[in-house]
Amino acid sequence: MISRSPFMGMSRARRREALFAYLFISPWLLGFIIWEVGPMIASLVLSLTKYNITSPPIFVGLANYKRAFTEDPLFWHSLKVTATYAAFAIPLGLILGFTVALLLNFDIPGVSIWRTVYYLPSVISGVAVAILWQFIFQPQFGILNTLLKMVGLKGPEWLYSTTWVLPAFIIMSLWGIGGGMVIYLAGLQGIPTALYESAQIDGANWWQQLWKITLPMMTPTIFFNLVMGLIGTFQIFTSAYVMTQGGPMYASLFYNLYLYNNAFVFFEMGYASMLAWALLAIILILTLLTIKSSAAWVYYEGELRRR
Amino acid sequence: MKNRKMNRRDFLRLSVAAATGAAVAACAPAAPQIVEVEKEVPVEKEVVKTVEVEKVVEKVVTPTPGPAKKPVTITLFVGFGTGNDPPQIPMQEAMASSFHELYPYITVEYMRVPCEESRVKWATMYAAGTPPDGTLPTGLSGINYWIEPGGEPMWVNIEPLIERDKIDISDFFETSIKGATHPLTGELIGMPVGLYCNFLAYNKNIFDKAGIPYPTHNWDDKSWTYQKLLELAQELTIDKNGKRANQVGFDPDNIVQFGLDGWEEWTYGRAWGGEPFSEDVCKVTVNTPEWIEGLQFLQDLRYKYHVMPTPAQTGPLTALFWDPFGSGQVAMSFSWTWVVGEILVEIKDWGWDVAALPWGPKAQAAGLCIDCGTITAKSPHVDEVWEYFKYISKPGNSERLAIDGWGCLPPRKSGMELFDALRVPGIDTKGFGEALARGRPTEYWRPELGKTYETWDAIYDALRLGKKTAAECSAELQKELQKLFDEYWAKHPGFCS
Repeated sequence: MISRSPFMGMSRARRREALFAYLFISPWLLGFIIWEVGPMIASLVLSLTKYNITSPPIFVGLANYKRAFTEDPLFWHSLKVTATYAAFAIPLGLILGFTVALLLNFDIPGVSIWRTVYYLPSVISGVAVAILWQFIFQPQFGILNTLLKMVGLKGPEWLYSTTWVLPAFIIMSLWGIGGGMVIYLAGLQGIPTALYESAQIDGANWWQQLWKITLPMMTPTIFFNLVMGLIGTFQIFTSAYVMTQGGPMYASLFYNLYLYNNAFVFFEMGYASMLAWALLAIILILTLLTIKSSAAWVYYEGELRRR
Repeated sequence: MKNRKMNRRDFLRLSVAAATGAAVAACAPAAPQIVEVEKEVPVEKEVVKTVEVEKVVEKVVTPTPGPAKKPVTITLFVGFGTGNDPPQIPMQEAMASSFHELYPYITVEYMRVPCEESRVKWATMYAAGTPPDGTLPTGLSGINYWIEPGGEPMWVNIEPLIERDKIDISDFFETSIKGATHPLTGELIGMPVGLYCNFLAYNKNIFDKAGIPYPTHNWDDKSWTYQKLLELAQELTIDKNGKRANQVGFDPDNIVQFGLDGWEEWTYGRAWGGEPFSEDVCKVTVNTPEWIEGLQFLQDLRYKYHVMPTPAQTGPLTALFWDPFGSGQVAMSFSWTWVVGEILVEIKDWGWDVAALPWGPKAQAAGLCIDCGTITAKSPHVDEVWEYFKYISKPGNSERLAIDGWGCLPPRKSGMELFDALRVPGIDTKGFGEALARGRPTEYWRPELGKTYETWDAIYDALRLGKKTAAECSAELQKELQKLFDEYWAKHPGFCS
């Protein structure tokens, strides 16, 4: 069989256009191959080695994987901390983001300003946000405990408490709901008004419209935000690195922080690479499960379902 | 001349020509500049703006004229600790310039990296095979993170260089030389360039207001004990109702002035006669009664006597300066000498001074941190870096760079005289020298340094937060660290019996 050139059969102008297309995407493509695919392959290889930077890597097979799953309590602990955080932060973020989007979908005065106000926090850099929240959670003069004191409650020690440090991070995660809110807003505005009009003619109230029209029509958007949230929350790092360094007493030792510690505090690059691949596998499995479950609860417009 | 619009071909031609020109310029060897003259170089000028300093003039013997040497640029990594504060940079640059005048073929460049990024940066450069030629300065932990018995050496053993060039190091504080010597190989892997130690600072205004005499400056006064320190701290800790910590009805949740600050586990443990590791770093010894008693006393200061702020209470005290003592609401503080340059010289509203360290049941203990210059074993410019280290270690230069370039105490004993004479007016700076004499390093090498630090902090967090006693925490730490040490030494037989 004679292999065909991708340019064969194209006019000169089309060939030229295709060439330019490849030329223009080549900076990104080369960058992706060199800086993303290359290190990924390298880390996969390193995950099978013992490598402390100062000496050449030593091949150890699957020893790093075995160590993580059978000998390293901190691996499981960091996974548990991260999973607990995700179990609360993801649903809370989805519900609050959706609620705010619903509110800002009303035709109220200054709605654009409100939307901007709610969206802005999600574009502020992670380190700046972490420092800001350190002040908010400060037990003595922080705004949160000051508010609690005003209603007669003694606030906890937040970041200094093994009990409260994780709830503190979960509360802090709500800072970023603006990103999801914008996507929800776009979804809400894409729902055909004819559906609401016919529901109103049939006598449906606001609550019924929400349950019977808005929510089902928004399930693809919710699904998208869920997957993105899943990927994002399992990768939490900056806030923990800046605010607690995993403390107190490992109570906020998130998975990615533990991975970082292995790489740049303990200089166990092989083990850290293995942790990175394990995280990829965990996120991949959870994402696939979510996608699988979507058949039961995500409704696409125009989709026909068999009963 | 008629204007002509540049077309794409012209643009490409011009770009290629420019790139080629730049490449040629970059690859061309710099013109050799060998100036070999004997001259006097002023090596000391006004070191601190607030005091007048006698000008010290050192006679510099220039290198022996020889064949013209190839120009070399050495890169020194600044980031494993001090050295990146803007006021410190002019002195470092001035030192590099004056060195370049003497050795025109060597140019010193500093690679400045923020401390929190330094390990990642160094590790990445080292792994890529392009590490800087050395570090200047680095704390001992910066050196020790990378040492593995039998592994590829990262740092040059400078002892043969010292012997070759007949450098007299007897003027350096013995503890600094010992601290920079690797405990297993006995190699001297760092040239001490600056020291930091614990000291006891006190706020004169608080004492004056309370009508209480200042703590003693007499370092030999053995009646000045930790018990006395506690009694004094109780008198000076006041709640919002004006009650003192030793009075009935004192409210520990609303303290407006603390008697003491400075959570120093090593200092308290050592003052009671404890030591966390055996000298050969084979055994963990945090379960000894001495170590535990010292740490329990420390925890009691915070949670039983309420004279020391808890981590949560520390926040409001660090609004202006990162060290609570800078707030003016802390009567006494076990501080480190870096606080002097970074905070205390800025204090204008109230006076402070240095008291003698109290005596524990066994010792008058002080922690010691040592900053060194190190030479990277992979560097092709070992001799040139060493030449620079020799230059900055000369009497006069050494003090000048330590005080103004790194913001620390000089590594030479003779340098303390200069430090005493110039640092902060009205302060009993001799106390720093006394503390140095009693100082012992805390950052020395031990197996799995990163994990040791991590485990130590995670377990002693419970002590710091008042969740567990010193005995409980130390028992847990002993178990965890000894396991870590045993596993490590099992992989490196021959070092521990």
